[in-house]
Amino acid sequence: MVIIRTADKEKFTVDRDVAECSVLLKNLLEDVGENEEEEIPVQNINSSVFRKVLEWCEHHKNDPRPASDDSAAEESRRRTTDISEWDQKFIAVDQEMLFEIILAANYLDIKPLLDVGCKTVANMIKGKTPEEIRKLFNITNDFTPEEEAQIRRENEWAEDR
Amino acid sequence: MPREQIARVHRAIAPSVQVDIVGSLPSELALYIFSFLPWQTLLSAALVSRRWRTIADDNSLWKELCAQKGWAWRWPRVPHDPVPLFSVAANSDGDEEFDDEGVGEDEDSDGSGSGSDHAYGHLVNAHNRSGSGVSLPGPSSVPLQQQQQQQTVVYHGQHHPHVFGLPATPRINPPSRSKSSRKPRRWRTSPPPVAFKNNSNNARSRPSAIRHSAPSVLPVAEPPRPNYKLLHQTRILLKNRLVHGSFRFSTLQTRGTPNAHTSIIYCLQLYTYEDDGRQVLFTGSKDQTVCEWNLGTGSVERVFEGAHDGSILSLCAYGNYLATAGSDLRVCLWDLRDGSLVKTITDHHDSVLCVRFDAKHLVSCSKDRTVRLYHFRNTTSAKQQQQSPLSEGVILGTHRAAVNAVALSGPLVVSASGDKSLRVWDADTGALLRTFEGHHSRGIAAIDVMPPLVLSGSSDKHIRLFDIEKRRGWSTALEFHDPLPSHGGAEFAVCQACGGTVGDNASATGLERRCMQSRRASSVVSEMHTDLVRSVALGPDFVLSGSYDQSIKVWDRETGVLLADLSGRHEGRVFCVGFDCTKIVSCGEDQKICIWDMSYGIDTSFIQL
Repeated sequence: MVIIRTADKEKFTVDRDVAECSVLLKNLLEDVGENEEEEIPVQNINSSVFRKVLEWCEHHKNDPRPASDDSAAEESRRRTTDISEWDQKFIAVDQEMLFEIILAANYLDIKPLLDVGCKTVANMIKGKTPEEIRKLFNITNDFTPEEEAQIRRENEWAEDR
Repeated sequence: MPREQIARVHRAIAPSVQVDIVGSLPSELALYIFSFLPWQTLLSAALVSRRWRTIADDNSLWKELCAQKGWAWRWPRVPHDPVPLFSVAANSDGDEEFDDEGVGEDEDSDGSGSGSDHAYGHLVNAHNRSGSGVSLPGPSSVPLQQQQQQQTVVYHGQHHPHVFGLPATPRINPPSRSKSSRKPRRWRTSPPPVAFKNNSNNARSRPSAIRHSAPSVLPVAEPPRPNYKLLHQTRILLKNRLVHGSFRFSTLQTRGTPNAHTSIIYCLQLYTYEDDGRQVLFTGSKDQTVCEWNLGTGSVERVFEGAHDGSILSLCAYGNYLATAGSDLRVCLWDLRDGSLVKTITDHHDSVLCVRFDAKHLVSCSKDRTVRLYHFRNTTSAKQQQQSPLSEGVILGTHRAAVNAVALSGPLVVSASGDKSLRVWDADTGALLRTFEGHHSRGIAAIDVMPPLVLSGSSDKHIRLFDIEKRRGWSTALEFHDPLPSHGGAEFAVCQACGGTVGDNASATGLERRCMQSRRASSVVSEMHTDLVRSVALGPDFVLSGSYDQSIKVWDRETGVLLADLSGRHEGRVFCVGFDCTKIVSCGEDQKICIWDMSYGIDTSFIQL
C-alpha cells in the first residue's frame, strides 16, 4: 500500500499495483523504494478528480501495460475512437470533470485513460456543425463575418460545387 | 416551478457545467483530441472560434491525415504546368480494319472449335463496327503545339546483345537547337547510317539536357514548409472532380504532331522520373515505336524504335528502364537515361502480350501460353556489367490458352489467360501459389494488382475486383458479385431512397453511395460495358476499365459503383487506360491519346505523381 496526498490535502491509501497504472507514480515509487510510510504528493489534482482516476485504475490494474514504442498499436489506436462499455459509463461525467480527468491523466501519465478522455471529446465533436459545437461547449464566435466567410470559402473549395 | 423559470435557471447554470475543453487545454492535448477527428470535422472545427481554428489548422494534424493516405508533399515546387487544351481533331486515318493483336484467343470451350488463327478480335470487330459511325476528317485547325520547335530525340535500338551495359549504341539525333557543330537533326522516317563519331560524343549525354519545356524550379518563392492542409484539400478536390465528372478534356496525337504514332496505339503508361519528378507518358504502337510524350507541351520528346519489327503490344517503365513487348515475339529493355537498348529477349514462341518488371524481376506472357520470369542481376562489379543484367529466363508456368496479361507486385506474379483462369505465383521461389479457375465466364483480357486485390477485365464484358486472401469481391457480373463487408462503423442508418440498411459514415454522399452498393452496379445493365474489357487500372480509391465498346468507366473501388462514364471520345476500341490522382489517360484503335484532366485551374505542383 502507498499513501498519496492530493492538492486539497486529502490522503488516499492505494494498492501499489493500482497506483502503478500511473507512470508518474510508478517512477516516484521506485525512487521512494520500500519506505511505505512516505506520503506521495500529487499537487495538481483535487481529491474529487483523483478519486475518479483511482476508480479507473482499480478497474484497469490488471490490463497489460501499453508498450511505449509499439508503433503498430499506435497506428490501430489512431484509426478508431471506440471506447469500451465500462469506460464509456465511467467517462459519462459533466464537462468540467471530463476536462479535469484529461488533465489528470496527462499529469499522472496514464496513457489509456488519456485516450478515453480525448476520444470522448472527439466523439462529442465528430460530425457536428460549427454552431452545434459552439452550443455544446458554450463557445463564443469571435470571428468577424469577413473572416468566417473566408474560412467557409476555403473549406468549400475542395467540394467542387 | 413555472417552465419559464426552469428555463432561466437552466440558462444560468448551463455555462457553469460547460467548458470549452478543447480551447482550455494546453495545445498539445487539444491537438491530441483533434488527432482522432476525421478531416471533415477538422474543417468544421476551424469555424468554431479563433482558438479552435489555430488548432484545427495545425500542420501536424494534416500531415498525419496525408500520411495515412500516402499523400506525400513534393519538393521542390515548380510552376503549374497544366496540360494544354488541344484542339480536338477527329482522326480519319483509322479506317483500315485492324485486329487487336494484344489479346489472345480464349480457351476452346464447349467444343465450339475456333480455328487456331482466329483471334476473337474479328468477332468483336464486326459487332463493333455496326455501332460506330465512320469518323469524319477533322477540322483543319492546326494545334498551336505543332508550330513549336520540334525536339524529338530518336533512338534506333540495335540488337547487339554482347555490348549491352556499354554506352549507348543507338543513334541519338541532337535537337536543332543544339550546338552548331552537331549534325542536323534526322528523323526516323529516313534514318541515316549510324554515325559512330557522333555517337561517341553523345552516347551518355543526358536527354534531359534538351528538355526545353521542362519547367524550371522557382527560386526563393517557396514557403518554408509543406502546407499539408492545402495538399489534403487539393487531393480531396481532385477526387471530387473525378466523381462529379469535372474534367478538362484534351488529346495528344492530334493531326500533324511531329513524330506521333502512325498506327493504332496498344499500350501506355504514365511515368515519373525519379531524379526531377517530371512526369511523362509512354505509348507503344502498331507502328513499332514507343513515343515519350511531354505532357506539358503535348509534343513527342523521344522516340524509341528499331528494336521491334512488329507491333508494340505492351510496355512498362520503372526505375529508369523501359520494357517493351511485341508481336515480333521480342521483349526489349531500354535504359531511359540514354535511350540505349540494354537487352533483347527472344524466348517466346508467339506474340508477347504483356511485360512487367520491378527492381528484382521481369515477367512476360505470351500467346504461346507461357509466363516467363527473369531475375535482375546485381551489376555492381565491372565484370558483371559485361554480363546480361537479366538472368536466363524460366517458364514460370503455362496456361491452357494465350496468357493475355501479367502483373507483378513484390514477390507476387499474377497471370490471366484466355482459359478464364487467374494464377498467382511466387517470383522468388517460382511456386504456383493459387489458381482461380473460371474467374470470369470468358477469357480474361486484362489485370492489375494491389495485393491482396486483383482487378480483372474480360471478354465476358465484365470487371471483377477480387481479394485473393478473403476470396471475395465485387463484380459487374452478377454471378461473381460477392462484395466484402463495407468499412462502415457499428452504427447503421436506413437509406431514405430504398429502405435498405447502410453503414454510417458521415456525409450524405457517403450514405447514398453505400446504399447503391445494395443496388449493386451489376444490376444496372445500362452501366456495364457492352463489349470486351481490354484494359483495367487499379488505384487507391478508384478502378478504371477501358473497353472495345469505346468507353472508359470509373468505378468506386470499395463498392463497385459506377462513378463516371467517359464515352464519346474514342472512335474505336480502347486498348489501354491509365490514371493518377490528376488525370486519366487512354489510347486505342483510333490512334488517339485522350486525357481527362482533373487538375485544371489549380496548382498541383506539390503533388507527387
